[in-house]
This record gives sequence, C-alpha cells and structure tokens, in this order.
Amino acid sequence: MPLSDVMMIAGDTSRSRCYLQALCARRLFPSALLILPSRQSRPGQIAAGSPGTKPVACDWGVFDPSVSVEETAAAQGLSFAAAPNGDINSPELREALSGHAAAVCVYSGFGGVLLRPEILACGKRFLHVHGGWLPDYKGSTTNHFSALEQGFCGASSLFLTADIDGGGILLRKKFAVPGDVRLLDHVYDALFRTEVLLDTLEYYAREGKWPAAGAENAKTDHYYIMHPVLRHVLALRGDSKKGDA
Amino acid sequence: MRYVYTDGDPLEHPQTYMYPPYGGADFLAAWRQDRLECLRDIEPLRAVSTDIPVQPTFDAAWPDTEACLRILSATAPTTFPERAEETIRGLIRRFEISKKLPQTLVPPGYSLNRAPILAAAPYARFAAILSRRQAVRPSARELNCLLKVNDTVISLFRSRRGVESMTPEDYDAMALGLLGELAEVDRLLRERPHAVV
Repeated sequence: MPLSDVMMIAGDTSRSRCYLQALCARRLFPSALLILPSRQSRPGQIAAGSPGTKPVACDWGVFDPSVSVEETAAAQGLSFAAAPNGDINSPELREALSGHAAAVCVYSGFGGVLLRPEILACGKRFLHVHGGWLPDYKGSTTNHFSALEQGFCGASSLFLTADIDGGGILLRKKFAVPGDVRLLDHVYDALFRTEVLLDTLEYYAREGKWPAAGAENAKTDHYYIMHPVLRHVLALRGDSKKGDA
Repeated sequence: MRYVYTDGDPLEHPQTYMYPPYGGADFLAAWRQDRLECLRDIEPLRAVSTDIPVQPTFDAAWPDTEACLRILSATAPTTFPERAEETIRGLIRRFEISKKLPQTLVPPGYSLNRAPILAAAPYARFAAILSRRQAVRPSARELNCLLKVNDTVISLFRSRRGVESMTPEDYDAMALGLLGELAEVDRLLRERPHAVV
C-alpha cells in the first residue's frame, strides 16, 4: 500500500536498510525516497564482511544488513533519488524536500547528526524512531544503558522537535535483551526500531491518524554515548571469561 | 592488546567513543592494566599529610569552576547543597558533549564560552567527585562520564600537558577517581546479567 503522504529520507545505514526492507516486506511503500549520499564511511554504516552483516530472520521476513538502501529500492521498483548532499541541515536539502508533497518524512540519517531548527521548520514533520524506551532513556546508546541497568531494550516513535527526543510519544515497545549484545548497534537496535516503525505506520494506514502512546514525554537526564568499557561489561557480564583480575 | 583511549591530546582531539571495536576480555584486561599502571605512576606524587585544609564554602567559590570542584571533591556527596548537585549534573552534560569543562560556571548550559579548562587538576577533581558519588549512589550514566574523565586525566598526565600546577592533593583526587571507577566496574561485572532471549 503506498503511503501517499509519507516519504523517506535516509542515509545508507544498517537502520535505514532494515527500515526499507521491512516497509517493502509489509508493502508500506513511501511516496518518495531521498538517499543521503556519503563518499566516506559515516556513523551507522557497517563495514562489509564485519560481524552483523549476516541475514537475520524476523517477524516481517529476513533482514539482510548487507543489502543497501538503493539495492532494495531498485529491486522493489521504488523511485528514488540522491539527495543533493549528505547534510540534512543544508539549504540544498531543504530545497529538495520542498519539492515533495508528502507531509511526513520518515527520517533515518547518519549517527550523531541532529536536525536543526531550520530543517524542522521546513513544513514537513519528521517521523523518527528513537532506539530506546522513552521518556526514561533519552540520548545516545540508550538500549545499551537500559540493557545494563534494567535488562530490557526499547524503541519509541515520535515526531522530531528541537528538544532532543522530546516530541510526543506516538508508540513505544519494550524488547528482551538479545543474547549477543555485540549485535545491538547494527542489527537488533535496527530491528527494534523497525518493529515500532511498522506498527506506527500500519496504525496510521489503518486509522487515518497517528497513534498516541498516552505517556508523557517528561524531561529526564540524557544518556551519552556509552564508553567502550561499559559496552564490554554488558557483553561479558556473567561470562566466565570476563576481564576481571 | 593496548587500551588506546588514553592516547593523544584529549582536549585538542577528543575521543568520540563511537562504534568501538569489540575486544572481548582482553580489552577489559587492557583497560585495567592502563588504570593500574597510572595508579602506580602517581603513587609517589600523592599527598602524605593527613591535615584537612580549611576551605571556603561552595557558594563563596562560585562561579570559578576549578575552585568549586576543589571544594566538592573534599565534600561528602550526601551533603552537597542543591546548587552543587545541579552544577555537577550540568558539568556532566557539558563534559559528555564537549569533553572539556568551562572555566566559569554559567548555568543552565555550562557552556565553554570559548574558555575551556586546559589544566589537568580540575578534571582530576571532577573524577574524584564522580567516584565518591558512585560509592553512595551507583549510576551507569555517571560512571560513563567518570570513565571518560579518567581517560582525559590519564592522557594529560602521560603527555605532561596541563600538569604543571598539579598538587599532591590533586594526585590524591586522581587516584580516588581511578579507584572508584575500578571498584564500580568490578561490581557491575559481578552482577548477574538479566534474562536474555
């Protein structure tokens, strides 16, 4: 089913690949697709052949992290175009977006990039799925922190605002911590977000309105990118080969 | 395997910590070795006096960041005035974003205002504060910051940058920051992991 008023703008990251493969599997086709170019490796992009590039079976089909956004779009006959540059905050990109009628844009950019007020005010609403359970886990690598502190992961959909992770929560879900947390970054975080994206868009397609989680997105302290030592604690905790003296 | 996060100039070229490679148990062993070596190296530089110096109050030191951190590093976290609690939380946010501390405290953003602290001592004091807070109220968010602050302090120490004015009490604070970090990471490693799929 084409989503006539929902387009997508994406960098070719693991998460974007998962999103588009899932959307196509569920036949939720964006009205347009703009691909953010990247001449060199950007955060969120996985190197070919590294762990986490093997296909993973999931509810909607098979996520193959090695298949690029462009390859999926071409295989599905989706029309797509390269964005004028890889900077979501550039005037050229605002100009490119203004040429599309869709009111909502599914946004899946490169890691570490925040949307500035100018692009947020361009007239489109940017649908984003945060990789964490809001409002408790805002910021970066939040699934790593919730896995470490409370033994669960999450994903929450919202429309982006100038307040980081601060928009009204549309839909959110909790997930069990995967057995191999080393795959959180490029596989499971993408799968969790994708499931929430699918649920959000399917609700919209079915009901004609966006869901509302009914939970206040209260102000909470942000988490910041997890230090490698804590990542290793998460991966090795309980393992007999853990790195203690 | 070497622990690489204490290499280089952390103030000029801060670590991003993005998508680090996985090193298994060897990585944690390398991190532990890095910390223990530093503790060994600073042991001769630490204070031997047990006299407790009389310090001005936190409010009197405001808004000089270095002075405030010096006071708070010698203060029990449970007795922090509310303003101090908000200041520490603000400095955690600022350090996590910029990997530097501002010379002057300007809430709510605690912006660097193009005047970051370049001396090592305030970072050592900040680490000591975070370490003492961990002992009272463990927090993964604050431990995360402590790990990065300790990386900064050790980098500065090893490269002899910004250490000219370090006092024996500053090295004491540095040691406290490292010991608290080691203890808290060890505690987390011993915790039973939650159920997984």
